[in-house]
Amino acid sequence: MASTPRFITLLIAKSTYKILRLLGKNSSVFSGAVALKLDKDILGKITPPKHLIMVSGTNGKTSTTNLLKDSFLSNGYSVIDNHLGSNILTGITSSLINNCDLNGVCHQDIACLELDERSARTVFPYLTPEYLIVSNIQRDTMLRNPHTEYIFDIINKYLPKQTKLILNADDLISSQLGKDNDKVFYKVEVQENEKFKDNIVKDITVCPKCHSELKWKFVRYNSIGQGYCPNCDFKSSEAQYIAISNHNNQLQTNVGEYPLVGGNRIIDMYNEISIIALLKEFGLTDQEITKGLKDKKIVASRYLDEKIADKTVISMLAKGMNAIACSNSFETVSNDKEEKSVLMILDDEHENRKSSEIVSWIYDTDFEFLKDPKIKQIVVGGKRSYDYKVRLLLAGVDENKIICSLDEIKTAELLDLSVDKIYILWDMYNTNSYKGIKETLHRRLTK
Amino acid sequence: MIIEILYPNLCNLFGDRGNVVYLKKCLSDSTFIETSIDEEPYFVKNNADLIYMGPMSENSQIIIKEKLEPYINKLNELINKGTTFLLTGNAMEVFGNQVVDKDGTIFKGLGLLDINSNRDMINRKNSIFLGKYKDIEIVAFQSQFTTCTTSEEKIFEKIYGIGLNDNDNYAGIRKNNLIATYLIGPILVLNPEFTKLVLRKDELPFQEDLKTAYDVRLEEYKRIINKQ
Repeated sequence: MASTPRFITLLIAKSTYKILRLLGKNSSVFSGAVALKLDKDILGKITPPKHLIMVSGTNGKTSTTNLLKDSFLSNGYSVIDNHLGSNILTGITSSLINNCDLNGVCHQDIACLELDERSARTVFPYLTPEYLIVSNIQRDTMLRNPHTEYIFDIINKYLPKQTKLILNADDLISSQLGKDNDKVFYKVEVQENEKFKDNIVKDITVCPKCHSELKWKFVRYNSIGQGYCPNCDFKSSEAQYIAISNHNNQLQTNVGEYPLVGGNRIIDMYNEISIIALLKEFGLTDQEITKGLKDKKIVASRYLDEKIADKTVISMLAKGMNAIACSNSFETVSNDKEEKSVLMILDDEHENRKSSEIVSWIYDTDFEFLKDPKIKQIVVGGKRSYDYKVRLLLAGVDENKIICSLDEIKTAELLDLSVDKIYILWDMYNTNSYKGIKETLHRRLTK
Repeated sequence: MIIEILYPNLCNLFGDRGNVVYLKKCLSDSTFIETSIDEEPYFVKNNADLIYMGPMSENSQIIIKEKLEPYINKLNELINKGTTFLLTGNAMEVFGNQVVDKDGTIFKGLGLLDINSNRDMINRKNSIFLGKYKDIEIVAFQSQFTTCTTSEEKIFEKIYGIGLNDNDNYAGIRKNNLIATYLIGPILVLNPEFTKLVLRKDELPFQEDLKTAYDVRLEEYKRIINKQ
């Protein structure tokens, strides 16, 4: 069947978008869905902005894309992004359609688009990014991303040869992408007093060339670190952009000193050095990069540190079904040396609505970090709370510290408020329960 | 009791290492030997009472098959004399005849089990699993690119799920004391009554909490299945 002419497709899709917006409906991905229905190749018929930049990878891509977009905006560039939509074909198509004219031309300077790793298969045949940042490739929700080799193969197979790659030299998996592509690498230097914690799983342990067991100079977490094969020349790549340290709210790098964005977390340093690498390659001056990064924050929904009455309440996204992201959140809690209580709602509501959540991933997750003596109580909520309790017990957490509630919001009533600090670890699809918990907590703390 | 975990650094997908973690808790007097890819398996020169291998990537299947190939006769001897094996997820395909990929490539297994698999890397199959082992209701998950056919004795009767393939009524096979199944979970943690039976124990660590988690899941599975 012949596809609808581009002008008609865009007219219908853009009109739908505008009508839904007038009606106050969330229309951010609808135009793409409509357009793809009319013409499955529509993405290839849109002229993106002159500079097309994409960010992909298992963890860190949303924070990185947002920060990158803000950096360009601060320097006066007009930018398209997909933060309101999705990072798959429909969302990316929508972002471009919502911002192009009826001839399919985007007149903005730059598109900064977050790309779901698996969607490389559907997006790259139509769009060739000038730059692609890949933060890392790690184990993720097994339903869609069963293992890292699978994800690597998808990106590598569809990656356009003309795209310049900005890759993480501390990730032995994603740093092998695009053998023939032009590329630069970034890394984070070992920090003063940094403690390395071997996670319970690593996603690369065997040399991809000769199948010998890899050796490591250090492992920061999961398979992030510097490794090499003792029997052949396979090793971590040399980095051109290096985050050296962070002091006085500044990030010291081998190419200059810039405002520090986020906290002292290593993952924030990785995100920022990848952005600095990209901005440098793009051609921004040090002054422009500094201007771009100044006063920027990590999106509050991912990390929020606030004072309620006399307590510090820290809310952190702990992406359910994602063992590495969850382990990193648990480690952040354990690195805090103050006494604290922890409230966890990790059930994936999205999965639970469809079926019954597969909880296998919790055995790839380092609940061992929560064996921290400074944690006075762990309240676990949701249908899977007893699965988490068993996992916590197997990790060696004292049973007397664990309270379960099948009702997620009720966890806020069960929380011990005698400590000064409270961590709320919540899954991104649990927004309603999270809001309910915050309301209850606020009421209890301000009573 | 000596338990050998084959290649835990590669065969560690889908949280199935939870089986090992729980076995260590249940069998705290036992010796656990974790064999790395550069080592000769313990079973080659010593007696192992239980040999465990978990799910892995398709590339790892090739590497591990190469590593185990020199010991094919020994493995055959152990299976025939009744050594206990537990193979979960796609580990059983390494012991099987072959995996034929939709793209035409063929992975030849060790041929120790009469299992023939088909793989489709584009369409991953995910499902909850409800079934039976003897009189025990089994709850588990399936998440795989493959299905298989087999002439081996079948176990884990399927009530709901993918099973060995969509048209089969079972989700695992048994050859003497070798148990191989596509079920992941980890099944030993998810199914306390089954674990008691397998380990011949009356009591398990954290039994009450395991049972509560099992009951919540079983009730939920039945509700989901009844709705469909």
